[in-house]
Amino acid sequence: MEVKGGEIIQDIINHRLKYDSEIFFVDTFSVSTEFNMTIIKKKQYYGVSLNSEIVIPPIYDEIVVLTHSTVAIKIKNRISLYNIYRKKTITDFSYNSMEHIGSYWKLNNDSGPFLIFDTIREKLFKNKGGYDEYNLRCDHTEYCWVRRGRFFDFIHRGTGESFSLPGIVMAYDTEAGMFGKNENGTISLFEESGIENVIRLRQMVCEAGGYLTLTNYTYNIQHVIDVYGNILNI
Amino acid sequence: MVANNTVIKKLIKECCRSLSYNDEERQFTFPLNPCIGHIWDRVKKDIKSIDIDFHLNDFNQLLNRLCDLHNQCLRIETKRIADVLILPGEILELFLVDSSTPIRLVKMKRGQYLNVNTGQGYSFGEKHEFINNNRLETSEGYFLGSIKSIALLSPSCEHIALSKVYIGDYYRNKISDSLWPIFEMVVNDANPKCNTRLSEYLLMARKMGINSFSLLNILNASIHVWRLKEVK
Repeated sequence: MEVKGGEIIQDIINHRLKYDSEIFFVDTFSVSTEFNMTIIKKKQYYGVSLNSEIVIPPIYDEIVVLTHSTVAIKIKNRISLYNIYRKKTITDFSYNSMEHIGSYWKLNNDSGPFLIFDTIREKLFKNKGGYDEYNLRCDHTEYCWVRRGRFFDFIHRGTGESFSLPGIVMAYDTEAGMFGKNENGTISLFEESGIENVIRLRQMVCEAGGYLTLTNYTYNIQHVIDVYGNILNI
Repeated sequence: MVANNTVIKKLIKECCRSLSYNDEERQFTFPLNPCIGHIWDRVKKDIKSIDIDFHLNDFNQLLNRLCDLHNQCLRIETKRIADVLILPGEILELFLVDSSTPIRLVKMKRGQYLNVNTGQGYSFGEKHEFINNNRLETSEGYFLGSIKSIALLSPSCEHIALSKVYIGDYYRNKISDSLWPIFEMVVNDANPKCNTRLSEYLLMARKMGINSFSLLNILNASIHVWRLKEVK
């Protein structure tokens, strides 16, 4: 089993694998089943079986099934994500806690950037941009806004590509497009190139009957705008 | 300095009165309250708690802009725009060749516009497109001129704040397909003698989903038609 991690974790894993092979006569028993995977337990450690075959040996302190292919494995308070079909970890063991937010899991690292795992798209966001916050409340939007300090950028949920927009101080949760508010208080619709698409904004506002409502569910903000991007419900 | 909308709304509540008709200037407007000299001293602390960078100078500039609402807008130039992409209530400013004064049109309905300067209505047809260097001609064949430049006039933050204070949540309603009913009402009323009618114009604006900038342009266009009635 290929594992990314520090030497200490690897030593522990090697030690436990050896121990597991020595206690071959001890039965494993099923703890729970999710996505066709069964979490098994032998002595105080956990593993995973799939179709009666053990795919992760019972050497971990805790296992959480995230999707049909990915599980979180925990050893000595360090967490990593493991893909059972690729038969290897997809992150290192840097993380020490996990939060489940909507269809995402956020892996926290006390001394470094956090990680986001999208369970719907089976995608990992490694937070290379060092963002302080990701929009995890809405998973139906085309783009996910992210925040660094006062400013917002966007990440395309499908491709994981990030888009840095100039001076955006608020972003909105919309099914399509990147809507952002600038420091002057007007809202624009942005292309991936960073250019404002004035015509497309106008078309969308016209289709909506003259006014468009934009919401940021995380900050509980709702702004109604006109064709010019002026916020009207001040 | 980019004004804080909350500050502007607060000052408008203090300094402005509701929609009025000024007989002397023959103009609809949201006039300033009399005796505004002491307002700044009274509200200064409150205002600065919202926006510490808002000073007396900014207050004076705001008052100046409130005295000239007709011209408070952001001009957004464009080379072409189709009628289908213009909403009722939007204002276009067109400079025509051989004319130094621009014409200001309010879109009233698909293909139909009101000339704010004359109170005259034009029909250009639903498929019409305003294009630079093209002829501007009505569906009936009346030639207005060749277009030299086109600008859409976006309402200013003062108009937005006035709309919120005196018209209310107009943006919760879709913009009406036709704004002619409000123009016809004002034309029939002619010189509004009482505040009740003025309140009704504001209520109509809310129901029709239009802001104070659109409303003022429609109301002020109607005055030209009164004049014609008075002359007759």
